Amino acid sequence: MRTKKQEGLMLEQAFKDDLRTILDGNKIEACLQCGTCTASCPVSYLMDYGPRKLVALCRNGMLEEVLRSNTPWMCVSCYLCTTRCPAGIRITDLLYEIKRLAKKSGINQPTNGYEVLSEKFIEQVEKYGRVNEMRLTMSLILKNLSRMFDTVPLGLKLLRKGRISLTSIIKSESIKNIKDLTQISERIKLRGSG
Amino acid sequence: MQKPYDISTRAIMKHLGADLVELEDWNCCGATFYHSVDELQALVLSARNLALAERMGNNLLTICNACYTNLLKTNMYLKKNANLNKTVNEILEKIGLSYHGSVKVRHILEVLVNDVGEQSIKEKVISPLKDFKVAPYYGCQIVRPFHIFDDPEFPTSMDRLISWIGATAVSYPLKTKCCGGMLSFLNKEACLGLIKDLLQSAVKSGAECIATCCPLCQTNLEMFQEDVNKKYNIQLSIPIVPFTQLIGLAFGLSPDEIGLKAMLVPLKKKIT
Repeated sequence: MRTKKQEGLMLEQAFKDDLRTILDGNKIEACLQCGTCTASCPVSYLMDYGPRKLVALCRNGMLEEVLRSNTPWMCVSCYLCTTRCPAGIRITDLLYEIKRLAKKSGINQPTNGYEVLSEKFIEQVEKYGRVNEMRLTMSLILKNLSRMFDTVPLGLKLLRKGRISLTSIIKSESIKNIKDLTQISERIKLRGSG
Repeated sequence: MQKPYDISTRAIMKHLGADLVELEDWNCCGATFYHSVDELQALVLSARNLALAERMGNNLLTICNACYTNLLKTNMYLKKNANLNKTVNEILEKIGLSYHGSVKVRHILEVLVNDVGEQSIKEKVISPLKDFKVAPYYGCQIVRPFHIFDDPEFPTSMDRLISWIGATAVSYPLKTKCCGGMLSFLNKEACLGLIKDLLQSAVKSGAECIATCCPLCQTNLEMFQEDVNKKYNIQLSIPIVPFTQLIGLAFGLSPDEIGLKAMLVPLKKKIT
């Protein structure tokens, strides 16, 4: 059994290692705390810390706070913070990294349903190679039935306009070489555990 | 859902004499989701598409801002990081592919503005969209993080294109402000605020329609208009059309050829 402290240290090491591999990851050291990122973010008001404070926490090794934060899960990947950062920090990519690490550590469970959407989206890709919006929507509705009534009026309108079709849910066509994607997943899993 | 964007792109490119070949057996790049789970897998998924294109000897054209960013990112990462390049190619090898970095990733907007160009487009215009005001909406990922062909915050290429087909591009401050992207699935209420700001800003500037160049932007702005109206007690009703449909109209293509009848808020009669 590893102690909590040991586990914390391992996570910190993993984070440091990952920062070295993501592009320009070590630039967080150059953060000026100017706040351009948070001020530019279209959804910062939904976040507990926002990108500026999150970078400060990262730099100070307060990893547990970082991993418990909702900030990365709210990010809409608009890259405005990244484009404007005077220190050249790729903040959006840093948030992706924090999400990956949160998943690895098991610390953070996002509260806005990101996990479910992500899981269902990925499931579609792995199974069919492509994402069909009808199938994706159906699988999300099945996870949360209360949303079904919200989507009915819009769904009917789209059906009438021919924008969606019901047969696409039943037809489970996948790409020809779907085994390619299975192979890719397997290879990557092997690397992860090795 | 995005068939109108798909067919109008194919129709105008055919009309321009460009030879589009669909990438055989392409796979979804995973949008932003794989980056949140496994970076390597995200890169390999895009690398598979790049490798397939390389095998065909073609460059890769996309009409989606998110695919565009993912493909560009993969190209750049593989070029800058030799170890990563090796790892990705080892995985590709298992499925009988390899990628040497020769494929250029292009967005349809960029190709129309920079490759096809002003003269060739103007030559094909038979019914210019006169006195028609359009708000060009670029979204995020077509110019961010990689701003290959236009400014990351105030792009102008679609504005120019709109003027070439006889219409007027209105100036409004939110043309690269985010529509909420995937957040519309997760936190619709928050997203409605973003969408309302965008729609109102375009309407205030006198726009009679918003032209989009990304499937997700188009979906968000179009599908949630009624929810916006309900939530904020306003009455917005502005057509949200893929910019390729406007070009098709100016080229004199029929509404069916460019999927015009499938749009939720129809364009005004005067141009259709």
